[in-house]
Formats: sequence, structure tokens, C-alpha cells
Amino acid sequence: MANLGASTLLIALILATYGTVVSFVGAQRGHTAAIASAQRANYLTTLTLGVAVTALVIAFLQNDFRIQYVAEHSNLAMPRVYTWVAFYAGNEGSLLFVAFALSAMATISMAVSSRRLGSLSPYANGVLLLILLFFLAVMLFLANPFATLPTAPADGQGINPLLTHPGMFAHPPLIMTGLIAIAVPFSLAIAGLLSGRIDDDWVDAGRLWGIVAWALLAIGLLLGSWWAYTILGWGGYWAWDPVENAAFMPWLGLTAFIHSIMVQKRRGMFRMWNIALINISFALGAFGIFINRGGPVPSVHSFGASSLGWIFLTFLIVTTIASFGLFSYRLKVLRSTSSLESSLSREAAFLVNNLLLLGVAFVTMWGVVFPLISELFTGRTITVGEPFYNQVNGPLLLALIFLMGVGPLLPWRNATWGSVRRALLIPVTITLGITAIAALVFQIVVPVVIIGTSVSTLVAVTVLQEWFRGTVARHRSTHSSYPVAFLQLIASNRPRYGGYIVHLAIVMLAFGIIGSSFYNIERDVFLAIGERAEVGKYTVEFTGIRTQNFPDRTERIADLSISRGGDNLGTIGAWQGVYPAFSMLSTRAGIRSTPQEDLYVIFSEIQADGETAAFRLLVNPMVWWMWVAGPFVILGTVVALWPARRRAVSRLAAAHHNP
Amino acid sequence: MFSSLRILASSLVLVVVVFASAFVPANAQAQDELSTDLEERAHFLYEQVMCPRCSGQTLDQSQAPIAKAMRAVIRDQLHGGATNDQIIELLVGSYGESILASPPTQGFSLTAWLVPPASLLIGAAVVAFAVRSMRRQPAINPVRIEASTASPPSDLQKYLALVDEELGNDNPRPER
Repeated sequence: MANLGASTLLIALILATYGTVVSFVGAQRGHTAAIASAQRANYLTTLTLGVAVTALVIAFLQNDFRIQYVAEHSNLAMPRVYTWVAFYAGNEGSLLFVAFALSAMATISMAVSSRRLGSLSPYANGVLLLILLFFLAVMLFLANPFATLPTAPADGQGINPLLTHPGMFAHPPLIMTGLIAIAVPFSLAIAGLLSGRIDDDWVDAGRLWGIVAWALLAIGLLLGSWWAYTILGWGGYWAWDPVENAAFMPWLGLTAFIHSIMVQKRRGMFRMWNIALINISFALGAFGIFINRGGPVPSVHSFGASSLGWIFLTFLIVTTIASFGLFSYRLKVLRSTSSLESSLSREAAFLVNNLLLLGVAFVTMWGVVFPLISELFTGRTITVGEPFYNQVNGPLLLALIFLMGVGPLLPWRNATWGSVRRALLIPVTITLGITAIAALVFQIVVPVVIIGTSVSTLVAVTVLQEWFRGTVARHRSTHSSYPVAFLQLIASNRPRYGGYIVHLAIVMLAFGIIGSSFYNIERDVFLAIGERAEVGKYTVEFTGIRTQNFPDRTERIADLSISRGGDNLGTIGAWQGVYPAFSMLSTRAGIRSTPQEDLYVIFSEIQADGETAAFRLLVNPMVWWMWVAGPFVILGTVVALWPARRRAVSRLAAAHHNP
Repeated sequence: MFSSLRILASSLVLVVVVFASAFVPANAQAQDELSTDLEERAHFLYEQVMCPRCSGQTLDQSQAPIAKAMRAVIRDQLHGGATNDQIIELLVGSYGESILASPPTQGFSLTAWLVPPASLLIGAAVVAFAVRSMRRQPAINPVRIEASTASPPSDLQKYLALVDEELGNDNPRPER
């Protein structure tokens, strides 16, 4: 398996090299046969890397401990199903995963979009293969997943216990795929810069792959938060950890891009901005890879101490210089045909949107980098943790939500203050009313909560108002029933309404974050079996411990009986596992979740007498809404990307583009 | 002079207590349930202090033995009536400034807090300037390297606009 794997990596490298060179040469000379051959080389790399992936999987399944990576991340006792996670648990394997994901996305994107892109596609093909070439070279020369040990050890080291949770089957692959997916719109941006053509077809393809990368990262980030919440046991879901930030920053850049591209689609403006936003997103993604694998900043997540930091730093510097160099070279060609007519317009709102999103990304990066800067200038390390990010990013994020509510109400091109006032009158009045009632009913006094609640409510009100009006108008004109009219409304303009669904998901996320950040109740208690503790309105009784011994771990479940105001609400089990080989105690929270609040229990340690245990009890309001937002993000993305049935017009447009 | 001796003395006591409590068996630790007010302050402090040797986690997040020991120290101090600032000063005295979860607002660390709003203002100024210059200049016709995307003839343009209207398309093709 080691030989098969290593040879397929080499074959893929040769194919990628061939494909890159032939793509660019073919594009320059307009040589269609060369271009087609290079595209086939792209497809072949996916096939070849598929074989490499299969080889590594088989090596795991066969316990081939002569391969160093298999020995480091599995053992004889490991259940076979964890092979999926063990594959990307370490540096070398995750690089192979990233390379395969990139190759697959390169194949799919070129297969789907190359006809549309026309003369741009060989440039995009070449850029994608060039990036793939980099990862393959790193693997072959510096971090080979198929490297062998001189003698095969009797047993492997086993898989990190933290990875044996269902969330870990999806979160890392989604994040890694999402990050590398940025390469697709990036290749389109470079293709546009190289060929000097940024037109309708570029916009459509850029929007499609930008949204795909954005959605993958969004779901990956949400899943990571959910995993942290249920596993890591502090009751929180986001720590502004450098590696979390590393995935968050490119996501912000992509969010700016997928909004800003709407302006280019509609009015041919912001072309400079969109290329720059893609370049920035890709640079942030490359920065993320550097943080993940270079280890310059300590993090719960990092792939251990890796010596590959310098190579990824070089990759980051080279790609950033190249992309922005090309950008300034083509600056004159990229200028828009139309100009901004008024600072009170939807275009201007998108500009402010870009500014705020990039602002949050900058603050986040500043926080990640400041400890290093401080060390450089003063020799002292200063930590930048949660309180900093919450205080500085908080207002920016609130401003973004406000813009999310007001922006869609602004007309294109030009608006008068009078028209804006008229558009805002009803939504703002309703929002203020709802906020006032909520503040009285729930006795909200914290200003941030009031602001957060009101801007989030504003977004919900504006979206629902538009849905209501649109549905009623359709019902009146087509005489179909209200549900049918509503579905027709959504189908009539899928990008817009898909976007609205995602905005509503963000509102759910916002309410979840506000509720759980400001109104959580936390208690650390010691309980003997039979004892009770109170947290919030709940009474928790520790009823017993069930222990199960396994070869590599001891599992204990603490059973707790929950009641509130005298009503019995059932039992939950808080799980812990002790892994002597890793000197690790891993926990899974016992959670009773309702839309209103979560009761959350972590079983943190058992005393020597075996009968008393330490628990952390939390009441987290509204966390449920954060996880429910996930499916709505997916739904909104699918709706936004669903191709519209415009065959007659497409044929006409195609005829005019390709005479 | 006397106050710095006091800080030194209490830091030494702190270090000894922390190390001692890390070795003390768990069931000998006081089952101290603080009043709600002190409990809230305890959790606030946990979020302001990092765990010294646990890759980037606050005392609130970490389950490591040293984190538990430090939490116990904070609870003891709260029992004893210390203020939040005194407790933080004590911890910083023993572990250095890097124990704080966010940069202090003095000296070089102040730049951590100043740079974000400053850069936001600069960014806003750049955008405002760009908007104003975009509005003053008339539209610039780009120099096209390839002439493959010529505008459709005007009657075809009108037809396409009609089709857009009939389909109720809210995103018509861009104006050229």
C-alpha cells in the first residue's frame, strides 16, 4: 500500500505539472487541443488521488503499521469506522484530504463551468492545478502520508479520543473542504486578471463557486461550535481560538464577496472590489493554513508542532504578492462602466457591508497576530482572548445585522431620504414595539441586549414583511392559494429569497448568541449520590454512576434526575471517558434542550470514594436556535443556487455570446 | 516599598498554595458553595484569566489540574473579601501579564485596543473618499483587450428588456 500510495502521489504531481504548463501555454496560443488535454489532466488527477486515498484507507483497515501515519493515528483496538476520522487526524493525512478535495472541486468546477467561461477556463484550470501542485509537492517532499518506518511496530498509538465524536466526522472535512474551495473562485479571479476579461459569465461562475465555498465554511463553523458545546465542557461554543479565527476570517471575506458580486451582476460595478475581495479571502485562507500547521500561536486545535510553517508562510506571501501584483497591473481594465450615483443607495450599502465585514476580519487577525507583535517589540507575551474579541467585534457585528435589515430596503442607484423614511416606517415601528414588549416581559436592562434584540428583530420584520406583501400580491393576481403563492414567490427570484432565508438563519444565530451570552447561569458543585443542587429554576439530583471498562478507556455516565417547580422532567446522563494512554479525560455534556433554554451538565471528576462527583451545571438560554440555524443556512443556499428555468432567454443569450 | 513587599509575600503564598492544592487529594478540597453574588464574580474572573499551561484556554474553559487549583485560589480570595482588582493583581504578580485574557490598557498593550477603531476610521475615510471620487468622475470606458463581448444591437436590447419584465425578473442583466 505504501508503494502504491507514494507512486500515485508522484503520478498526480506529474499530471498537475503537465496540466498547469499546457493550460497556460494553450490559453496564450488559443490551442484548443492543448486546452482540452490540460482539462483531461485535471480530471485524471482526481482519479489518481482517489486511488491514493483508497490506498491509505486500506492501509488503516489492514493495520499496516509499517506506514508511519497509520501507526501514529490508529491501533488494533480502534473500531474500523473511525478510519474515516483517523485519515485526516494528522498533518500528512489531512494534506492528502485537502489535495483530494481540491482536485475533486477543480474537476467539478471545470466540468460545470468551462463552457460558460469560454476563453477564461484554461487560465482557471491552470491556476487550480498549480495550487494542487503545491500541495502535492509538500506531501511528496516534506510530509508524505505513505512514509514507512524501518520496522513495523506491534501496535499503533491509537486515535485521539477527542475525535471519536460524531461531530468530528463532519466538522474537519467540511472546514478543510470549505477552505480549499476558495481556490475555485480565486482561480476565476486570476483567470480574469490574466485574460483581462471580467464579464457576465465570470460573474455567474464566480457567484456560484463563491457561494459554494461560503456555505461549506458556514456549516463547518457551525458544526465546530456545536461540537465544542457538547464535548469540550465549558458550556460555550466559540472561544476566538486562533484556529477558529483562521476559518472565520476567510468566511467573512467570502460573505463580503457574495454580496458585492450582486452589484457587479446588476450594474457592472465593483469589479475592482470583487477581485480584491477574492484575493483577500484566499490570502486569509492561506494564512489559516499557516496558523493551523505552523504553530506560531498556541491553540487547542493545532496539528501539533509542525515544521511546515515556513513553507505555508512562503505560499501565503507568494500567492498574495502574485494576486495583488496582477490586480494592480490590470487596474485600468477593471474599472467599472457605471459609477455610484448616490451615497444613499443599495450600492453604497454594499460598500459599507464590505467595510464592516473586512473590519471584523481585520480585528480578528489583529487579535491573532498581536501576541507575536508584542513579543517582537517588548519581549513580553500578551494574551488576546475572548474578552478582547467580544468587546471589539461585538459592535461591528451588531452594525452588520442592522445593515442586513436596512440594506434590502434601499433602492438601487438613488434614494431620497423621504423614500427611505417611508420604506423604514412600518418595519422600524413594529420592531420598536416588539423590542419594548420583550424588554418589559423579560426585564431586559443590559443595553447591548436591547440593541442586539432590536436589530435582529428589524431584520426578521423586514424579511417577513416582504414575504407577506409578495405573497399577497401574487395571490391577488394569480388567484392561487396563499401557500402556493408563497412558494411561487420564492421560486420567482431564487437568489433573493434564498438570501432572505439565510438572513433569517443569521437572526436565529444572533438570538441564540445573545441569549446564551448574557443570560446564562453557571454553577460548579460537588454532589454525593442522592444529593441535589439547584441551578436557575431547575433542581438536579445525582442518582448514580454507571461504569464500563474497555481495553483503552474507562467510561462513566452520571445519571441525573431533573425537575422544575415540582414537575419531573426526566433524566439526563453526563458522560466521561478516561484514556490512560493519552492521559486525557474527555467529557460529553448531558443536555436537556428546548427552544427556550438548555440545561447543561458536565461530569468533570469523580472523588476517591467513588460516590461524590464534581459537576458543572449551566442553564443556557436559546442555544437551540443556533443549531436550528444550520439547516436554514443549507436551505437558503440551495434555493439561492437553484438554476432558474429560463431556457428561452438562455438560448438567446447564448446565441448572442457565441455567434 | 511596604506595599511591594506585601505583594511579593502574597505572591509567594499564592504560588505555594497553588502548588500545594494541585497535590492535595480532591476530596480534601473545601466543598465551598459561594453566595450567588460571589459565584457570579468568580465566573467573571475565570473568564478574565488564562490557564497558564493549557494551549489558549481560560480558567472558565479548562479542566486541567492547574486550572482547578487556580479557580480554588480565586474562590478562597473571594471568601476572604478581596476585590476583583486585588485578585487579578495577585495573579499577575505571580504569573506575569500573559495570564490576563485580554491585553491590559497600559503601555504597549494599549495599541491592541487603539488599532482596531483607528483602522476602522481610516477604512471609513477611504470608502467615503472613494464614493465621492466615483460620483465626481464620469464613467470611464475600459480599454478592452478582447472585443468578444460587444453590446447587442439596440432592438435586441429592447426585446431582452421586455422578456425580463414578463418573467418578473428582479435582477435584469447589467446595463452596459
